[in-house]
Amino acid sequence: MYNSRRRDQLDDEALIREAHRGDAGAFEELVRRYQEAAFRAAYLVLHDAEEAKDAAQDAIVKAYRALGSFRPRSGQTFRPWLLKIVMNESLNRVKSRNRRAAVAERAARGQSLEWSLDETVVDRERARLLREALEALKEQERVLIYLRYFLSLSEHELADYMGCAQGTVKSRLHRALAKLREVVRDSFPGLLAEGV
Amino acid sequence: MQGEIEILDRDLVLLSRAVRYPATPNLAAAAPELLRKPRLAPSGLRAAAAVVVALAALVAGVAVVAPAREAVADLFDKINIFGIDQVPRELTYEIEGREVTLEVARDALGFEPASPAGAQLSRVLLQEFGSVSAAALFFDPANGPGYVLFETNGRVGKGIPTGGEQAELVEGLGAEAYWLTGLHLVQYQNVYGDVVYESRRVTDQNTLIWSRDGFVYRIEGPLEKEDAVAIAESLR
Repeated sequence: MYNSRRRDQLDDEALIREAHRGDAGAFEELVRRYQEAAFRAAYLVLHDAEEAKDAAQDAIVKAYRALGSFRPRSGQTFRPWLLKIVMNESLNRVKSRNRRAAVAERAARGQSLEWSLDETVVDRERARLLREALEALKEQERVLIYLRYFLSLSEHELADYMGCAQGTVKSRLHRALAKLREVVRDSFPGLLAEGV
Repeated sequence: MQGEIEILDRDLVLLSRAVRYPATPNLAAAAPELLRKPRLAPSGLRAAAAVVVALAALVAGVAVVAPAREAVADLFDKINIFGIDQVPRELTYEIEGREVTLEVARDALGFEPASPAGAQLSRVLLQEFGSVSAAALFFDPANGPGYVLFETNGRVGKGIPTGGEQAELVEGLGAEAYWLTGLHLVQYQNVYGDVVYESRRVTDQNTLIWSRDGFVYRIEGPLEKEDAVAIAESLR
């Protein structure tokens, strides 16, 4: 067991080893390192802070209980492994009946389930169209774009996440963008005109 | 056209920078309390569904399996056969995964993958979905059709079109075994019964699926049932 001062000096692999031995403090340190990524991943999918918090919390509990399946010696890294659990949890919530009921209830109360955007960075209308186009993609394509563009996962981490070679990551990312281009051409052609 | 991809690439970068995320809650501080919470018992619905499936299997004997009407992930069986109205068209037929050696697959799975006696292994793909790992072993025998043997530590769900009567109980192979023909959905489920959506695909290959010692095995390929069972029985 380590005290909190020493834990923050340990690398992920050592923390995972300690957490696996039952040191809840080591797992707490791991969560501290990746809680922002976990929460943001859930928020990207669920568009709602409260629900994102619940999803991230549930995913963290599941991750703790599944630590035995994490394989750092096979080159696996913790962030994509955790984000995969978070994404699965969030996507499951999107599909659940309870969630649909909650969304309807919030809509009835006039609460928006949209990302909040800084409109000094991006044109509001352009952002709206691009988000609609993203929603038209298949779930796996959309998640890949979230992971790469919004959560800045490296190709190595994406390969870990998807369980494939880095070369495959490139081709899948290219396919996802090509699909997005198709959607945009068909439904939002104005997005492809220059002059943001 | 490449120029259009570049425009989308630039817009995605801008959009990603523009998202104003709510403040991240202190999940780390809540972690110790969360981890102390007991695991949830199976819900009434799941438990009831498991009982229904088990009873259906008992009553059916060697007959055709009546699929559970809903895709409920029961928590007792490693194999979950359920009925669906339609096989989702958007899912891939492709078997995806990271090409690895048998040794790497063994380390990832936490158990020694079994192979049919005397068969020539051509490649191994490792599929990892959080807590669920699976190995897909490709065999190309000289004297018969090629097939893929999947081995996983997770639960496996099979969605078959309702009324299709394409799942048959197979006796004498592991804890439970089924022979499936025709187009159907395949998905993994984790230890909590949650569907791993990223693992979903469809196959129209004949499939023998069985569980043994807590693991699930399945053979996909253009095989007859007797040949698939013979391969399964020869696993070492």
